[in-house]
Amino acid sequence: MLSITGMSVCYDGLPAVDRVSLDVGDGEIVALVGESGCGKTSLARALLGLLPGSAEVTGSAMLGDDDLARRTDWAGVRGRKIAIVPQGAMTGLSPVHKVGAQIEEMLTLHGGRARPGELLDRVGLGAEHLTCHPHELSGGQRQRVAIALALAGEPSLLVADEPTTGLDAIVQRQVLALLASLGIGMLIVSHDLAALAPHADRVAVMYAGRLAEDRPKGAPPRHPYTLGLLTATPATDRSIPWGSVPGSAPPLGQARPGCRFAPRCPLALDPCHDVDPPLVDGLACHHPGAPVYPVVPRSTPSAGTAAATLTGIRHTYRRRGVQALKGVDLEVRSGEIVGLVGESGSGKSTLARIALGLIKPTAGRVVVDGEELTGRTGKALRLLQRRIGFVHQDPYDSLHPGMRVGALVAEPLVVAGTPGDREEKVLAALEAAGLPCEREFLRRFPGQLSGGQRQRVSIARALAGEPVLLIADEATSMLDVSTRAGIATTLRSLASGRGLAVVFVTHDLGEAVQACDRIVVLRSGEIVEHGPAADLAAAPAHPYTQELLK
Amino acid sequence: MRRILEYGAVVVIALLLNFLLPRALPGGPMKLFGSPEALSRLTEAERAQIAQQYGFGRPLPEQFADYLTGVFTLDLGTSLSDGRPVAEAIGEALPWTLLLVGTSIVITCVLGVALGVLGALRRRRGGGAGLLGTAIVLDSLPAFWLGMLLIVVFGVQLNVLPTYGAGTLAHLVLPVTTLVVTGLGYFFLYTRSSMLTVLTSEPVQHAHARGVPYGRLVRRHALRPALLPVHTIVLMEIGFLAGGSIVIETVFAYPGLGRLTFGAISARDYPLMQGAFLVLTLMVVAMNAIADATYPLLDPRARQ
Repeated sequence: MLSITGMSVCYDGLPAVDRVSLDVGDGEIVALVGESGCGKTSLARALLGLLPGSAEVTGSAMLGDDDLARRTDWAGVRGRKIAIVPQGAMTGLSPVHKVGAQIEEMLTLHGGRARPGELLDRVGLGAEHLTCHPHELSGGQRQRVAIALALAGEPSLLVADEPTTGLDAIVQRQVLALLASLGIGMLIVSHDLAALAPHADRVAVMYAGRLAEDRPKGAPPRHPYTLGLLTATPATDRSIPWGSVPGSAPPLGQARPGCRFAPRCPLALDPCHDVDPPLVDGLACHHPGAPVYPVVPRSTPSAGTAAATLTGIRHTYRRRGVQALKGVDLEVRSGEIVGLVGESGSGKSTLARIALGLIKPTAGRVVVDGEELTGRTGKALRLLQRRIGFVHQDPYDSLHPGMRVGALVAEPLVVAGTPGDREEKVLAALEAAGLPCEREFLRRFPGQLSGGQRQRVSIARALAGEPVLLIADEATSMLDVSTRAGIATTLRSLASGRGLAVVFVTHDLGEAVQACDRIVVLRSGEIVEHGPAADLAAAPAHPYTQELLK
Repeated sequence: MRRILEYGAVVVIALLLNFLLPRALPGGPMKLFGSPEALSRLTEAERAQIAQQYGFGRPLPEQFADYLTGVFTLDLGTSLSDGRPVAEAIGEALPWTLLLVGTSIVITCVLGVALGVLGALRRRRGGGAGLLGTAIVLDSLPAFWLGMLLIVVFGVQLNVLPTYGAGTLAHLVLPVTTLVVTGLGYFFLYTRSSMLTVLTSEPVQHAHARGVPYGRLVRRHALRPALLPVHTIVLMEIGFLAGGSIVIETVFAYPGLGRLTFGAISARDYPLMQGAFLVLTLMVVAMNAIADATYPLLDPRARQ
């Protein structure tokens, strides 16, 4: 039904999508998988003419006898023949119109015959939601509304761009199951290979603008990059190791000749660096095989002293009247990594902020390194806070873009007034965080680094103050899948090497199972289950944990 | 309920300032009672007697208590300069000001918002750049200068329009024009930037991706969210202007609140100043209250 042939998308002459050919059959679900910057979103948006004016599309994309790559007038096509559930659809609904009116608009515009209630029913929502405004719905419900809007025009092809990003794990599964059940031709664009694979009839993997692999459901993955993506997805089974693909994808226009993946591929041989492998039999690779990727080392239980103890923590956000924490106890010992797992609204971020002394708990005590943190203010609080390192979720916003790496990492030393040679300490911190221990690196700006490198700079900055406790708040969630395990490996080496106590906050139970010694599962401000990672993964006691582990 | 208390607190603090600020000005109302030479011949006792008689010689807390009682019993006292009740003076001036300000704010608002939307939609074309440049120039024009220019051209040289006073429609033309021209830029720039933000926001981009045609996209998806902040600034602007435009009313000798306030300040006429400030305070607070109360009607997210 949709046949893409040799399609390229160039921005100012630099190819983001490079000669990609891909078919979507009638009623077929094709997953287009890749990491950020691989060109998957450019390809998807080119199909609907949604690229900015600076983009140039070549090749063809035949939908029936209509070449989408040449189209300039999209009336009667967009929303009617081909519809999209855009990226971040949850925040893309009109805030001032009711759900019913928004669906009505789509039906009128695109000549849909269904009634609004029927459409909502099709996406698994009751007709009572027609009179709601989007802000009254949960993220998952809004995603369903966005899908209903796309279905209104009865398109023959649906493009879903990252339809699960930003949703909780359980809701993600529900949304994917919904999409798979619709029975229309679909191109689902996502970074999450493991989640999509069971639902897709075919999986196409993109890397640096090129199609690496295109295989039907059930066929074994063969491309080293695909295998890398799979090992980089943390399994909830501890017997399956969690690996990472070292390095990062080339920035736009800086891909070298030959196989794009060769610089990161453990199997690459000479021809890989010179000759671009053509897509033959659904695979673009000179040397398919099973590459060995570095994996997160298994931990040995430690018996250090308590680095931080939180007792009876309660917190109520008084303005909103939300009880975020309802009596939580947590102890972190030196040398161990404790996973704090929960979905959005579970209170995990509030708990992390309380441990950092950023907010005062309504009740309860926080003891860090043997000294009480709660009740301290001003300078006394700041002195104790220096013993806690913090790595923020967003490596793009948490580093000042105008400061060089050297200055960023040295900041805790400057703040503490540490005398002596700071550069040596900075270099040591960089090395501990897995970054090049070079003077040249100190002069770089965050803008010149990849996401993984930035997050490592953030870790190095936290380490420079020589903390006893490190709090990593969703430190991997904004990174590319292939580099996440690398961060976890670094945290592990810090825990076992320096006896650092680490709190690893995450919404992904798989990551916690793989990276942590002990796991604490939070839900609605209460601990529903806690215990050693191996036990919890093997035999979850609470139904909620079981649901997360599915 | 909480809102009402907050507004109450604002009014009380404003009342206190309205009372204190006039008295903090250098000089005093004594100069109303004669030339400096005549005043200098008065003895201390005579001065004190005058001050006592007209109420400005007593201790401040006592005066403030009187003032508060006056405000709540709607007795604003008597003007020191001409002996008229303050309420009467304000009552005469207020309708003129409301006429002037009302007319100009309606025109400014409609023109400014319409051009602002247009400026945002045409931002990449010549017309948009021209509008933007003109708006910035207009926004930085001093009102008194433009007013005097208009008087010279239309009143003196062409002699087609009255240049002072009020009474007929023709009297309104020049002051309204001045207010509109100098106020237009603000509304234009505000609307334009708000519209630009909304046009690139996710809801509008996504509606575009769903195949909503351009005209409908602008009218139905962009306009209302873009006008939400404009609604607030329009109401606040009305509040400020309702206190009278001191500069415009003085330049055109227009018998409104602005000129009354100007006269009261020059003469250190405490009761009249307090009265004029009271009107301004109440207008600003009332307009804020209206903005607060009507905003949820436009934005469902602000509803409880």
